[in-house]
Amino acid sequence: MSLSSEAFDRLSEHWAVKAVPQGDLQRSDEIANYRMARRAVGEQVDSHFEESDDDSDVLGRVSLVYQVAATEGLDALASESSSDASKRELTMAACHRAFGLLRVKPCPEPTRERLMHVFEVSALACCGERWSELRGWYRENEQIVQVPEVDGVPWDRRLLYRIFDCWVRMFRKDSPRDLAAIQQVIADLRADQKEHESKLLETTERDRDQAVAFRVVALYYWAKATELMSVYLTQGDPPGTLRNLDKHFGQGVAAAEASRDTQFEMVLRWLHAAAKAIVRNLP
Amino acid sequence: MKTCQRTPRVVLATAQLFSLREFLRRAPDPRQRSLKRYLLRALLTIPPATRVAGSNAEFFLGALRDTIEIAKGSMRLHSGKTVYGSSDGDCSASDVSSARSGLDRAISGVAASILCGDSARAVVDRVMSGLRETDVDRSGTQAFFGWITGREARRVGEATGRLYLTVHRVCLFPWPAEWDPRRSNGGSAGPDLESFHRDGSGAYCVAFGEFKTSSGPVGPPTVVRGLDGLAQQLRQLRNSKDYRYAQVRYLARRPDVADWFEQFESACERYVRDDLDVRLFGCLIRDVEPSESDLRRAVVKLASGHPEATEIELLAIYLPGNRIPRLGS
Repeated sequence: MSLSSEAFDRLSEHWAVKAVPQGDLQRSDEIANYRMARRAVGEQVDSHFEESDDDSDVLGRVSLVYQVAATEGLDALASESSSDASKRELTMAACHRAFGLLRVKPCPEPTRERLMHVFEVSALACCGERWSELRGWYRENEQIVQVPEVDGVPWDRRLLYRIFDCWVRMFRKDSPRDLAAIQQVIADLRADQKEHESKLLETTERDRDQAVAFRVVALYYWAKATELMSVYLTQGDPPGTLRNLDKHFGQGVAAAEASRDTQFEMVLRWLHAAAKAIVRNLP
Repeated sequence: MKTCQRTPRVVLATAQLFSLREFLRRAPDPRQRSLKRYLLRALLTIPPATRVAGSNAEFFLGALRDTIEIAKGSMRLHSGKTVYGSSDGDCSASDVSSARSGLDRAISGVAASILCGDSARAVVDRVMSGLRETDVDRSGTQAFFGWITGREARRVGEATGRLYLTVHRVCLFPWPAEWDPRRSNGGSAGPDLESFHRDGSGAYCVAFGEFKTSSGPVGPPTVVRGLDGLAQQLRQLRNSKDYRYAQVRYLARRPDVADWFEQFESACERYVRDDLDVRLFGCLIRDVEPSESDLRRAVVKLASGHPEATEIELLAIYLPGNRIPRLGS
């Protein structure tokens, strides 16, 4: 499915997009184009364009409205129903635009925020049909997509980092071996569970930090969904794989919601939509 | 439960309560709806086999009674009596010592039941229900959650704060709070309150806030201070654009029911025009005599260097002495 110009026209009429002054929309495009050009050819880019102090705010506001428009249509992205086709296309157009801006925004430095940023950029690219540009972004940002070390980190972070590793492999698509290795990563996590989970839960205050346990449960569902994706991509469609994928993502979202970690919950929702986009894009 | 003659009413009340919870999830402003009419319509569709036994019956009857009070527009939550107040710029603090009987009734009735959402156990059961199919060992997490049985006092305290802001600060909570365990550090977890506030001009803006419940005589309470404290959490909401952006994006996930979409759209448009134009609430719920020192430091901390367009209000609600430990029951 390729995006039609009609979808972008409808996006420009979306209430959130219309809330931004036309000048800001135009300026955000100019900033994004300039930053992309500078990345490609360095400081010697031949341009009279100059960034101003307000540009980061403009970029932030405009990417916010595209993300709001995209988020409104998340259910349509994950849906297979033809009745959602129109909304799905509008949402894909919003993802397309949001990716264009988010990829030139600075990546947050703290590890967890960095990982969430990579997930968001990747999911928007998949849902907005910017596959080759996403691969280019991965090539240009090796530091940003680097998998953190897991030695000595608590169990929930170990799970997150290893799952991140799996999704980087899926988004980067460097080699079939990369995809095949995912199942082994998840199997290793299951083997590690006994030792590491008890350490985390024993040091967690039951009456204060139940969110930690909910997060761990959400990560288990996510790990299973990741494994299913890998099976689907390497072996085709064993019966029920996609149905189970929806189920585990759904349960993961419920657990993340119970942990009240809104960013984590949203990343899971976006990766569910991205997984469906990857499946739809298979030859 | 006193007599079996009441059973039919209890049955009606129970079924109705569940319907009402769903209804209030969708209602933009419960006070503006004709609940009586809704009640009558819903009563006609109650499954005859529905049954409730034991002390729950009294609870449900109470819930129905309070719900009807809402329908009459005479919510049993008084605004309370302001016993101290201070302001510094736009950062204001006020202390509301509750009209005790009214607040007590509100807590024990429909307010706690509806605004608290599902019980803790129900959330745990729902979340754990599919874990078997992930091929992980469930024994550790099951044991961890095993102690959870009902509703935390803290959550009922929070529901009281939400109710107060709904009735007396015209805040709209489009969805009830699930039982939401807190992380010990704020981190990237969301704020306690994500809502829309109608200002004096009738326009809606995005509102965020934090609730803290504290029992016992020590003051100022520790929940106001420190990295996880009320003041620091409000500072994060005030100072971090990225954090607020993430919350607004999250709100966009929610307004999938048309009834409150208009308010969301209006508040979001306003936010996009000026991302400092938000309302922040900090709500402290205690069960001791009111003391101005409870919020004084927080006010000082928040008063310095806050943007002109951002309005912050700190509220303390004082319940009857030593009431909080029993709220959960």
